[in-house]
Amino acid sequence: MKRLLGLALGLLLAAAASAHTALTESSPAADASVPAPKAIFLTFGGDVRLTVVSLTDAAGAAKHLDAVPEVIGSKFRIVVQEPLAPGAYKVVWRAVGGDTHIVSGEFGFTVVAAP
Amino acid sequence: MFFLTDALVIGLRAVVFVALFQAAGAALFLALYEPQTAPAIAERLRLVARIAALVALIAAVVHYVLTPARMAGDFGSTFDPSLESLLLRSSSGTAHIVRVVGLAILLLSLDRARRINMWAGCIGAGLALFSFALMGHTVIHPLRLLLAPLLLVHVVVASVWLGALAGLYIAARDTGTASAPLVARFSSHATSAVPGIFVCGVVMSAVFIRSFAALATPYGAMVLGKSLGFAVLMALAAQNKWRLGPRLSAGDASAVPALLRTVRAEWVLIAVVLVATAVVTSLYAPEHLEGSFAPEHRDAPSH
Repeated sequence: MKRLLGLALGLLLAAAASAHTALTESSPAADASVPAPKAIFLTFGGDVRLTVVSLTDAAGAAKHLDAVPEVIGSKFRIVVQEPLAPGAYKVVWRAVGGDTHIVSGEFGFTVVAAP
Repeated sequence: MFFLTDALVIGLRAVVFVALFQAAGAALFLALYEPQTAPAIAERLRLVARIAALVALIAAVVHYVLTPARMAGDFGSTFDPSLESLLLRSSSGTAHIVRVVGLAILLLSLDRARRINMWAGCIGAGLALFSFALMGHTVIHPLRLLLAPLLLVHVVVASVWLGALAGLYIAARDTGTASAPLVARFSSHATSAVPGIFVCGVVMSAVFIRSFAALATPYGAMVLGKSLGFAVLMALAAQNKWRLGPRLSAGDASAVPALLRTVRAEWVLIAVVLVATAVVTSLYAPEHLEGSFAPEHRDAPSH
């Protein structure tokens, strides 16, 4: 019984990592190779309160971003406060819907040197 | 992404579900069956209900306090004023408040066996169970006037079932075959009421699960899992009604250990279903039912 419960919990947690996402568009787009962006744009399918946005490089070092705006909307612009060197980056986000249902996700992109 | 705040807050929600259903169910069982129950048995069940109500109340309060932390994925945001305001203004906030008030009334009512305490217990249990209809799809769905009563029947019958299992367990353990009349009486009522859990669940599922493909989603999997759990529960309940109950009524003391085993198994299975429901509904919603903000809550886009 304990093993079954552990397996069920593990499956649920694993599924949570890839739960249904309300993010419909981002800039940089997921897995895109782009010149260093000055801002991250997130567009959601409905109005949300964005609570977490973080940007880390391949080594896991956090990059400085503007504070997440304390507004409810479907489109958000988060300014990147420092220049990004070429390499892989990961954006992690979390948002709250109107019924306080929480959605979250992450995506990666690569910064390439400008031509 | 899954944060530690998620694990803690969802864990608390699961505790609330089980403890609330136990406390409310035991109070409603006493309201319905105390005249047929020996005073010592009723007093022990009242103690179980008090403990469950206290656990549920504490867990519900801590769950509410920590919800802003889960929203931000960070314990440092527990007392963030903007997130607290968001929670308080939401239907979820209202539901939390009604739940805590109901549990407080329930806890206070369970300290003695007077008639006024019985009525207060019913009101407290009713409020606590009603809180489930004040959040989620029963608030935002176009068919909410149909869904809310179905959900209420679903949770009330399930709660009385869980409460009854505790009562029947105590009665059988402490009085043996003398518990036969209580077991028989509850079984006869349960035969009519318990299928209501399934019927209400099926109708609600038919509203949310619009295709076979939707059964492959986490929400659909939860519906399938609960249906399977219900089938197993009915098999156990049938054994109590058709085999063990009659043996108990005939004075067969050897039926008591078997009855205790099936009652324990039923309790554990219902608790597992409640925990799974708490976890899955915390992480997922029916995909076409992402909650939206009311117009007065919207702000201008940030760019």
